[in-house]
Formats: sequence, structure tokens, C-alpha cells
Amino acid sequence: MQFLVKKIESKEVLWLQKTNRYLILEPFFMRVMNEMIKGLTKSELIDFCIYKLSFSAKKAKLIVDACWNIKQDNELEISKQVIFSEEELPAELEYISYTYSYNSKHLNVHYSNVALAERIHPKFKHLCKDFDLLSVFSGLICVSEFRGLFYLQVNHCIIGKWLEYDFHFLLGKFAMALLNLYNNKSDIDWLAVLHASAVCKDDNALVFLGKSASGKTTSTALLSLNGFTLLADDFVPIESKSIKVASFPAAVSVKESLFYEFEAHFPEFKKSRLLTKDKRTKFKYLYPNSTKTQESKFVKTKALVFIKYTNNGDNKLLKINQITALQKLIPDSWISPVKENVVLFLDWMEEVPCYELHYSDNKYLINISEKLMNDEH
Amino acid sequence: MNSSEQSKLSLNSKRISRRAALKKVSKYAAVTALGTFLILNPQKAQAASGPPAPGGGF
Repeated sequence: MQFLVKKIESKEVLWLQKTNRYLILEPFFMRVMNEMIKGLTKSELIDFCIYKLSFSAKKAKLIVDACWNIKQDNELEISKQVIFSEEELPAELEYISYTYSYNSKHLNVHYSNVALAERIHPKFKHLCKDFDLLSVFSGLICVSEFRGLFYLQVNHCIIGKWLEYDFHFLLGKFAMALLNLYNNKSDIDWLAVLHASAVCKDDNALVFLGKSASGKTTSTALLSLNGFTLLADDFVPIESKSIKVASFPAAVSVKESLFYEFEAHFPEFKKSRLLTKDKRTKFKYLYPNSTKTQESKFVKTKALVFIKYTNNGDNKLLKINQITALQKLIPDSWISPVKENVVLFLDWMEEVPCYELHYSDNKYLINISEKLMNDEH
Repeated sequence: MNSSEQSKLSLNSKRISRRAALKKVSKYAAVTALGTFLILNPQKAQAASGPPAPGGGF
């Protein structure tokens, strides 16, 4: 069984390589797992629980069964990565093309129809550069719709295909392709991609996490009006080598309720096209200031902040323990399944300060963010 | 989409049926109830938010 164990606070965090699954265990549970790994049979393990750990026979059986199930799950053969054939897509597809420029690199991005371009391009259109004959392209990305499936090709290789239901995974892989090509990296160079928003100031970053509609985008957009620089919204990559947050140059989606406030601060926001997420939700993209967003940034994480905005609720900041933070972060994030990266991820999660922030007052958010940036941990 | 495409796709997305999911959960339900054990699954792939298909309206 391929695994890693790390003690964080009073718990044992066990990572299982084959299933890329994390288990948070009481230390006694890990002792039983260790005995199982040594080769004890089921009945020997039950005896171990009863005589060494003083459990009742019923509880001993439950624990041993769970250990056994973990072992079996981790021994299941996981389907290998599917290799796609170029022939799946017809050669004669026509494309709408753009050049997206960032970090001194130019990428050629193609969409196979207008509707597809309309769904992805608005988030990146500020990266568009007029075609220049002297431009050397660092990569080619094609997004195609064919027979009800969406395909993503990077430098002529199909790297995935998805149904409409999984369109958010296509968007994730599209974002990864941009991130890798702009930074000369591959997936293995990233520790995680968090469903979060991040801002920075003086080489320190605050990362805001939370479920959809918890206020992370709004918070970071507000902070960007108050001396912070937006690093990434919705898609926050953490680099493995430096364990730093990387910038990602997608536009920020702003909800209708904040249009007035943003129009007051960003005159160009008025001109941003009104888009609809569903029948009731309208939004517009706020495009980063082009003079500030030309180069990739890698910034140390000062704190992870799990945020919850409420209309009239209390304003409070609570320090939370690392295990609670892991429980909130893991299910909502992509974490590299590479063993070396998991070691780094767990080391990072053991150290990084984590908070829960409830706020209804924007001034409180700004003051507390300043305070977190200046705190000596 | 033909059936071979569908089967390749199911390999790609690694989905499991509702019944299999319930079976998986219930396998650990008793021991998680003891409060000694917690399973966390990260996202299987990178994801990003975006607008739905045009004309979908939901």
C-alpha cells in the first residue's frame, strides 16, 4: 500500500496514493493501520484492538473493518489515463483565433465556433494582442465542439474531452494550459489549484476561500480598490518549488449588486459587457489594469482566510486549526497526486496560518486584511 | 455520441453510479460516526467557473 502519514496537531493525516484520498485519523486508528500493514490478519487485528487498545468487541470490529476497506479501496486498479487520437476531430474544423499575451509570451488560442468563444473568451479578452508578424508563439490551444463533446488540444495533442455537464473541467484544463504555457511549466510543477481568490501586497498574499457565493471574489475586488493587488480569482495556483501563490490573469466576474460601486471606482467597468449566468444572475467582467498584469508573480502566502459574507451579520475573525482548514480546503481543491508534492502540501498546510472571517462591513474587511498582512506569525 | 465514445468518456471522468457511491459511503458510515475517522477527496481535476451554455437559461 503506497501512502504517506503526517501528524498534524493531535491527528494523523494519511494520504493514499492510488486513490489520492486523505484520511484524518485519531492516533489509535493509525496504530491499527500500522499493524495491518505489518501483515496481521483481521482476527489478529480485532484482538489487538481489544487487548492492546481496550476497545469493546463491537468497536474493535468496526475499526478493523474500516481499516480493511481502506486497504481494499487502495488496492483497486485505477483506470489508466486515456490517450486520445487526433483523428477523433475532423481536420476541416474552422476556428476563431485570438492571440493572448502575458508574461512576455504569446499564445495562439482557437475556438471552433462563436458560441464556444463567447463562453470562454470574455474572461481573457484583455490579454488579446493584435496579430504581429514578428510574434513568436509559445503555444497553441484549440477548443472544439464536435458531436456533442468539447475537446481541448494543447500544441496539437488532445488532452481531454468533456460533456456539457463537465464543462467546468474543460475550463479548468484550459486555465492550466494557459498557466503552464505562460510559465514554462507542466502540471507536475503545481502543488494545488485552489477554488479561491488571492490578493497581494509587498510580496505577501492573502488567499480567500469559501463555497460559491461566500464573497471571495467580491472581497478581493474590494481589496484591489484599497491598496492590494489582485493575483487570481476563482483559480489560485500554488507552485511546488517555491510554495508560492502564482498570479493568473483571468478577469474577475462581478455580480450585479456591486455594479454601482465598481463603476464609481473603475470608469472602464461601465463599458464592460453585461453577461448572464442564469435567468436571474447578471454579471460583468472587471478587467485587470493592463499595466499591472503583464508579468507573472509568485508570492508567499501570509494566510488562508475562509470567508463568509452576510448582509447584516457580525464582523469577526477567528483563528482556526490546521485540521479544520484541511477539512474545508481539500474537497474544494485540486491537489497534485504526485507523492513529492503531497509531502510539500502537507508541510505547507501544517504551517500556514488559517482563519475564518465573517463580515458584513467592507471597512472591517479592509482593516482586518491590512492587519493580517502586518501580523508577525 | 456512440457507445464506444461514451465508455471512453466514463473512463475519463471516473464517475461511479449512485448505488456504488452509497455503498462506498455506507462502508465507512459506522466508523465515521465514532468521530475517529474522516475521508477527504480532492477534486479529480482542475476546474474553473464559467457561464453555462448559451440559451440554457438555468
